Amino acid sequence: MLNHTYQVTDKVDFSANSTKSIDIPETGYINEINLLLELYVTPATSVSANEDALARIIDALKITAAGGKNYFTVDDGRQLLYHCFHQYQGQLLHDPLPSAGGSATTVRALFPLHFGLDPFDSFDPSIIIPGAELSNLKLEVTWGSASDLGSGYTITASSSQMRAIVKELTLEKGETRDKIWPDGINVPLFESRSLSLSATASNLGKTDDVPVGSMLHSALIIVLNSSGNRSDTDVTEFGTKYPKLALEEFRIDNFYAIKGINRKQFLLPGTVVGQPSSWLSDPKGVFLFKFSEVTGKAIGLDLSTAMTGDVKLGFTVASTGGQILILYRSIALG
Amino acid sequence: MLERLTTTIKNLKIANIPVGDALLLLIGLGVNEAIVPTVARLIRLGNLPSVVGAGLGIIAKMPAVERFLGSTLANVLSATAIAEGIDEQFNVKARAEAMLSRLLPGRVATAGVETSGVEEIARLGQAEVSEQERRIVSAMRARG
Repeated sequence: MLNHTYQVTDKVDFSANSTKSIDIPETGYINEINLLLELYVTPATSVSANEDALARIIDALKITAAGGKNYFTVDDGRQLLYHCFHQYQGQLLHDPLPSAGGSATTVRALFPLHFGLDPFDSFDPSIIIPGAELSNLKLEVTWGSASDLGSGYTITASSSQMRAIVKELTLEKGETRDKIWPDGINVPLFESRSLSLSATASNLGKTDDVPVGSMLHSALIIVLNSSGNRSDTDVTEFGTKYPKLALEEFRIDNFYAIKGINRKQFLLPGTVVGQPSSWLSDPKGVFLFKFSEVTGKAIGLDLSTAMTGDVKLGFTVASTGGQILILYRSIALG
Repeated sequence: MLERLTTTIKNLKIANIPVGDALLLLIGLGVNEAIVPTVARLIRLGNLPSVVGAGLGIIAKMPAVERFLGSTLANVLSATAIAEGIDEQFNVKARAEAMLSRLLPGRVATAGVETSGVEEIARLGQAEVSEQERRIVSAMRARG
């Protein structure tokens, strides 16, 4: 078994409001894909940057393969950003946009997408995408436009792209997969949902059925207000519900407490030099809920035999017009 | 030549427990765990490490080699070479462990991956050790 790191030669070229994809070489068992965003941005004499601008330029991102295999899906770049933020304790490369009247410059953000349970071990074999056994393995990006960055910015498409740096385990000559994974492999399954907050809801009344059929590891929640920015006040309570058992096993009636728990749980930063000012304290409107909170098992909640509706996430909604973005992370049998 | 030394090791007993036999077995396994996979990589026999193990087992029992090693060490090396070859080929140890871990209750000790079950949600059908956990544990073990 060899540790193999390489940058994919092809890059996903930026093209406003378009979907672009590249093939990922099918050479090994992929542990990690580091997605490097590079945008060549020219500022006007007056600019106003959006919150999480470099993430918002990504409208959607997918990692797919032939046979309907869908390993990773986000429908908003912020889901990708805050998934990585929690995995890596907020220590991400994330450049600021250029100042008003400044020079055109390349701004970069790195989204390290690790599939295993130990993000600090790049070649952790616990959960992998079996690239060597797949065909038509693709990274697909749906790009937004310059207005996603804010007002007064121009993006030069020919100098803007996303690159993929892959970390994978490759078999040595004569080695078989069974040697490294004698009991079989686990694969990642990230599923994105969006709930519109069209009405207020009390007592965790706004619910979402969690995905079943696999091991559910965690759910990343992002609450957006009616302006599309992250909010701490539109949703006030969060919990898990088991309707058949009339059970609420986890419930926190204060949104700030959830974020506080996250901060110590994931060692999130209080201050980070060079990072966006929104990261100087707990990021608004974002938290990651690990199902180990209810099972006591780091791997999560085993829903392999559950039915849709057996487990729900519940939210108490105080303000309307916004939405809740959820990124479910499951571990499936490969 | 080595017979006197290996016989001394073999006869070693502590509190009447035959420690010597265990030591010889470990020596044999250690030697063959180093040799068999390496030879299997160097000499391609249709990717059949079990053939390499059997070959080394036969070599250890060849009269000239056995005279050098002594019959005790030759027997140990021959048996462990064949065992190592079979294990390299069919992954017998890992499969036996996996089978037993399915039958045995309780938690699985892991290297680097925490799977400690504090309390099961039996009402939700939470398995004691899930298939996903079993796979992670065996991958970590195989990785070493």
